[in-house]
Amino acid sequence: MVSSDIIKLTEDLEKQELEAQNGIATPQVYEQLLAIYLYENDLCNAKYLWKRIPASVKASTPELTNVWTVAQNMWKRDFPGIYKALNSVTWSDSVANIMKQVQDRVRSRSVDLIAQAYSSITLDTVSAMTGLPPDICAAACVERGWQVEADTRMVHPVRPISETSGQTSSEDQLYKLTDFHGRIKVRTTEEQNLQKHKEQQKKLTAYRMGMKQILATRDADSYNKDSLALSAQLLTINPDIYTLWNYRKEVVLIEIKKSYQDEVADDQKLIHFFEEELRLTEQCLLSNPKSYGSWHHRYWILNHHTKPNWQREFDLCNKYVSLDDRNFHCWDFRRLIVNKIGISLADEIAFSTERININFSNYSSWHYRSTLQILNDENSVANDLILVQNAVFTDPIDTSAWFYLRWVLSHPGITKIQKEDLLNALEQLQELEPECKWIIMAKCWLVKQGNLEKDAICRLKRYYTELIKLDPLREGHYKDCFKVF
Amino acid sequence: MEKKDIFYPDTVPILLYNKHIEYLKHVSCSSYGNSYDFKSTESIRMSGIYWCLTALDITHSLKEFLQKPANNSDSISEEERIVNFLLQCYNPDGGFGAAVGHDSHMLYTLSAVQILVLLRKLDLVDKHKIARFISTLQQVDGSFAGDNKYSEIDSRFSFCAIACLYLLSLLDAFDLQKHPSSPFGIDTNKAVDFVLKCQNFDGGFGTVPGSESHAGQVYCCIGVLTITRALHKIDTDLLAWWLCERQLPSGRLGGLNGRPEKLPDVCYCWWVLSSLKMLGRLHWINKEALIFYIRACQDPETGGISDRPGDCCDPFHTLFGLAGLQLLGAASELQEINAVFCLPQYVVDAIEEDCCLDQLRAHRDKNAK
Repeated sequence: MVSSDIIKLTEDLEKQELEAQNGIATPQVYEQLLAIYLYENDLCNAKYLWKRIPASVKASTPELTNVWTVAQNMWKRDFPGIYKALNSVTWSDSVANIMKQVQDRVRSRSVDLIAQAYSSITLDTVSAMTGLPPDICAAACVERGWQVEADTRMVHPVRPISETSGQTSSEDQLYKLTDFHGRIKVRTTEEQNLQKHKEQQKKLTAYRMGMKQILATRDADSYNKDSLALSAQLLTINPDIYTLWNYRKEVVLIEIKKSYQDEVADDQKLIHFFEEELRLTEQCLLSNPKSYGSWHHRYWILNHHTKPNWQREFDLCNKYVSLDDRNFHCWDFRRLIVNKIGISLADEIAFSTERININFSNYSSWHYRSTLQILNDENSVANDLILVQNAVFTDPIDTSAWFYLRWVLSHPGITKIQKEDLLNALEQLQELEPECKWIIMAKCWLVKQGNLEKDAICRLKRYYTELIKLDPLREGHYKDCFKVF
Repeated sequence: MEKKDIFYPDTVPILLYNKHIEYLKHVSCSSYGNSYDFKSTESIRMSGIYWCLTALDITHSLKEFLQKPANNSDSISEEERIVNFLLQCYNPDGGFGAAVGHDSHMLYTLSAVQILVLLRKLDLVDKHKIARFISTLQQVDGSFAGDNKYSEIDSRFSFCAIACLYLLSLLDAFDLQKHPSSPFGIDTNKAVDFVLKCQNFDGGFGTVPGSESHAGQVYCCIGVLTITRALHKIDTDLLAWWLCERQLPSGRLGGLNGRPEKLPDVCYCWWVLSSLKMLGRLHWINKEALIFYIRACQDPETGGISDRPGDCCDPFHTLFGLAGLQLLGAASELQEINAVFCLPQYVVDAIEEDCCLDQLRAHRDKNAK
């Protein structure tokens, strides 16, 4: 498939899902979209899509589960598992071609990984990672110019000299050395170390020379265009160089001052400048969506922009929230925009409801909802109680909605009848999910309120005893709860 | 529901005390300055030095390290090299940048002051000038910006400001509540008010009012409230419960995450633990399981600690892993660490800050064990 076709197909399928009647698309749409995400190695979107697919569709479409099994193995990087899942079923016409391409891509990625990380590796391991039987695998290695020792069955890959591409996907953050989290320790040999060292020296030289020039030409009243361009390059590689974001802000202020002083009003030039800054932040966010510096610079630019396009900012927020709904930078940015341009509370509440309905397991959405002055009258309390109750009953293992439930229950407007109804419902749920500590905790929250009679105290003691058994990590907390009686 | 989990090894090593000292010495010494990992993290350098030196101090290796010759020359020691670097980062506006030529920032001003306090070299700088720089960062609503030009607001900076003033022994002198006619100072009541506004429905704290609760922000906000003796203003039990829910069962290991439905990470072990300590609820997490987790994150080959078992280690996670183990009482070899400042307790004890010192000492004794 050609990459422009993929983009078109992805867009079509996503559109079909969005516009589907009653919010439920056809099994074929779900299948194809899930398969396309695997082809693109976009496991996060695959995961979110799987969570959105209604249980009824999953139950009636076994092939969908088969595609998901491939995804699960890809997530775990279980190569033998991936190939097994791909080849143990006969795919229907609607996904067969895509799944074949998924296999090709997985194979190609593992070959690249082997070439980057190993100077010698057993043939059996290469065979497992590529899903090719040993003899075919050996022949393929030789074709790539890798040496294969027949007696020891050792393969010696050759590392390709590759150009680094501009964009890194979240998967490829393996070698992102400026980020301290989630760097898997990969064993390398002398040869690999030497190669890596050369590349690193190149990067360091570029950084050192770049910083030197930028700081040397830094001035309150004028700026050097080359330095500005250099700063963009350095920030794209490392958006945490906060001094360079400061530098760029100074340049923007110089341009703003110049435009006031110019006799001929040239709004366009200034706007072009602002747009360039926004473009830079967007580029930085693509490779690192969690950099404080990038988000702050973007907001700062918008505050100075003569014609900011706020709708576009909402679209950006929505895009990043769908890429990672737990990215708090994005949610904070949204809040800033909302406060700046004064969006109606009702609209934001609707947005929050929509996000929650897309994915119950989204702590960030529930949190956002809690900030929208949502529990301000009896009706809204009752509505939110229903909403959160649905969530915990649909997926009692996910913790997000339970935290929100606790908060709703602490509202003085909850009626005795609502509490009793919920308690009964929880008792029933407990029969289906006897190991779920949250159900018992919710019962504690309900029973604890108001004056505690002897009967309530007995029940609470029983609940806490059960909780200690089910959730031993928090024994210290439950014992303290006990002590109150 | 498919849940991503950590990789956990079959066996968990004991505390590799000497290995960590070896690692720390390696990443702290001047010759390490030629490495890529070092050079590519220049924009957080000041904090990196603070992590290394504090970790060396709690492993009783700081004094020896500081006296070593730098760059294999006899002319200056490692200590002098570090002090020279620090002074070059001391900008005319009174703040510190992360490295030479980098702009002043609240984060690196705190790290610099922490280093100076560790080295007992505070007299080398004009403490009042630093305090004045900090006071210019407070906003009308009591929050603090990261720098005095571009107004990035974050509750982390509130902690940096208050902690820094305390370590400079100037919190009292610069408190406008106590000295209303002073030309420079911060309004501690407003600072507390802003922090309280960052508290959420779940008892946790976020970056700014309305931001999602996050263990790192919780540590910062609770730190502010502890130093300013305003802890009584929050729902302690609710927050402590949210914090203890950060512990995740994974076989024998029970690491801590930073917020719900996220993976565990050694740095959160520190921020959650120290917060629980300040709240007097350290016993609400399972110590054994957490100790196993931190020990599983050690690198037996090079020494050092990483965020998760099997990942690369670094000074940041090494400090917080060791500090966490010390707080848990699992490392008698280590110096006692202070939960509020993440500095050795003996260093904090030496700070002359009359109004708060006794309170913090009393608080510490009450929450011991």
